[in-house]
Amino acid sequence: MIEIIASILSYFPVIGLSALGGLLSQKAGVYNISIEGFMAFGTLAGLLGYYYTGSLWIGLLFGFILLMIFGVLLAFLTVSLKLDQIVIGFTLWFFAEGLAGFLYPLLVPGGFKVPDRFGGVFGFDSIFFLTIVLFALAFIIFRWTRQGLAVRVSGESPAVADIAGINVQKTRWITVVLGSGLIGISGAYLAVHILQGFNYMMVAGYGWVAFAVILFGRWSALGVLGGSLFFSALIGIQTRMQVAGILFVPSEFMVVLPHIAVIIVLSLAGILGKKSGMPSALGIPYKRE
Amino acid sequence: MNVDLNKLKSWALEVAVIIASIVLVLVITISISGLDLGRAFGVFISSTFGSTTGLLFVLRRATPLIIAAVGLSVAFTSSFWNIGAEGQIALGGIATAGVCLFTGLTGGIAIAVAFIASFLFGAGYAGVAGYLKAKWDVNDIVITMLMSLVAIALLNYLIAKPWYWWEGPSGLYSRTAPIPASEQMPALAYPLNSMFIVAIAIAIGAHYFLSKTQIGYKIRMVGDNKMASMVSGINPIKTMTLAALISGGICALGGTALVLGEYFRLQGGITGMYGFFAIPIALFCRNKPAVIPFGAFLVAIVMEGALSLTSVGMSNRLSDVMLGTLFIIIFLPDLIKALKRRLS
Repeated sequence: MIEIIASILSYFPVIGLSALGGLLSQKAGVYNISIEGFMAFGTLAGLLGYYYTGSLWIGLLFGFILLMIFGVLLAFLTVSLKLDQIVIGFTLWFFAEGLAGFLYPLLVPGGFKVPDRFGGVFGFDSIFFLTIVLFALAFIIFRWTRQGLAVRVSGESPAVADIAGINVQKTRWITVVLGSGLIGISGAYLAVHILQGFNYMMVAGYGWVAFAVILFGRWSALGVLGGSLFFSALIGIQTRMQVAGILFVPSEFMVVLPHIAVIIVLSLAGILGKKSGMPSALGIPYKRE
Repeated sequence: MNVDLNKLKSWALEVAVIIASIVLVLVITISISGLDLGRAFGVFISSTFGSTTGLLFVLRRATPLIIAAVGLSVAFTSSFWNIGAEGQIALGGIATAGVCLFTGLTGGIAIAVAFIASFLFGAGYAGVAGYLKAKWDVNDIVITMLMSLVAIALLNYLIAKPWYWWEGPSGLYSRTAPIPASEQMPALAYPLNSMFIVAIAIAIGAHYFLSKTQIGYKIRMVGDNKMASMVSGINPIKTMTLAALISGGICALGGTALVLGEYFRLQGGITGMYGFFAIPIALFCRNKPAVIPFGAFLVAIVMEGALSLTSVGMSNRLSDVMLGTLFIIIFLPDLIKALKRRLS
């Protein structure tokens, strides 16, 4: 039984880590629209890490570090230069996705398959627990620490943060870069542990699911954790049913069932829900008066 | 005629920077792929603007780009982020193929009905997302993006199962039967099709609609400042939904262009990233439908040239890297301005 639950939740680290990464920067007031593209580049990074060292952990580390570099780019363009976060997000999405597809065949001629997986207990692998720990950490940091407060205030009212002596730009830089790194880990994990190889556009919209989970979770760490569990369970059930040959709709639609669920849930949440916990200064560059 | 010389200068500079950057990216990607620079550029030029056939191929490729980018510009003007043009093109293709293959209509009537059906399909798609955004502030980016994955799944399903055309044991692709010659848009000069003229007409029509009509004015008002538009008596919910409907409808006609003007059937991958390439075109042309054909022409050169380079051993992902790069280049002027502000 517990093994079945574990296999249903196998996509949890993918959705959870990328949603957490996106949440981190959104909490401080910066959109990361590029989750899908950053995950795509994370898949390349993870596979390269494994290809060169034979270690799954180094694969994830590659994802973390390389995507922090993309995070630096995103932070520089949106936080320092104050360019439009949505437009820059699109830019980096396509750039990262295309670059991953372009570089993989050059760096790994002929391609390869990862023969290894992360170990764990009861079918839950170590990254599953790592993701839970990171969520708990995020919850604690946001709620009870000075740093967490600095992040929240920077996202809610940067002018107040500035008066209180919080360095808004620095806070936003750190959250964007760290958040991008987490998204990189998510992509790397998807590539080395779940799909175990490279395909162009293999992230298949999961980055957008993660983005939706942030809205669905109303910008709270616990909400996003719940949303990640829920939507990764949908993906897991869909995958298992497809493998088992149980199709109540044609297979072409099975693949997008989680996406359809996101559309419906997000719309209903918008129609029925009270106004959300969206950070007030989300998407607005901070300019000192 | 009163031409603003400074404006013209800055525009010319922008175009020059874009072309220089495209060349630079090509040099870098060709070099790291280990190809011969001179030969690769020769192929690139002769297959795009260096020959009549190349030029016609570029114009054909520009056709769905013009239509989709014009469609997006209507939504963007109202500040509705419709990024689902890819899915709207898929739906438009489905509607078009459905009408021409399965309704029993023939000739010009079939073409006319296909255009209408395509428009309605796309309008429905984007209209739902537009209404959700306008009325309840449901995130438009996520909804339109995810809906396009669903639309493409529908296309893949139709060509694989109910609309699958069995062409004997040699058949390789999942695709529908060909559309009869009487229901195809007439050719201009092979490979260019009269859909190109339709695309230009749509651009001109949209330009007139956005800049000269009252509804167009309302759409611009809502996009500029929702609060101010409400004060002046405009209903932002109605207006944004209308912009979304029109936007989705026009984008879907891009699918009609592909089915009736290029492939003459529905097949996998027909949307070809046109819907995504249309986003930077619309943004770069500042959502001005009259300028969009020129932007689309430039992007079509890049797409066509990148494709031609695969024949000399370039990765077929080049055009996607170019897409990301194009986006960055497009914002170079803003970038330079922002950098200057920082340095001073």
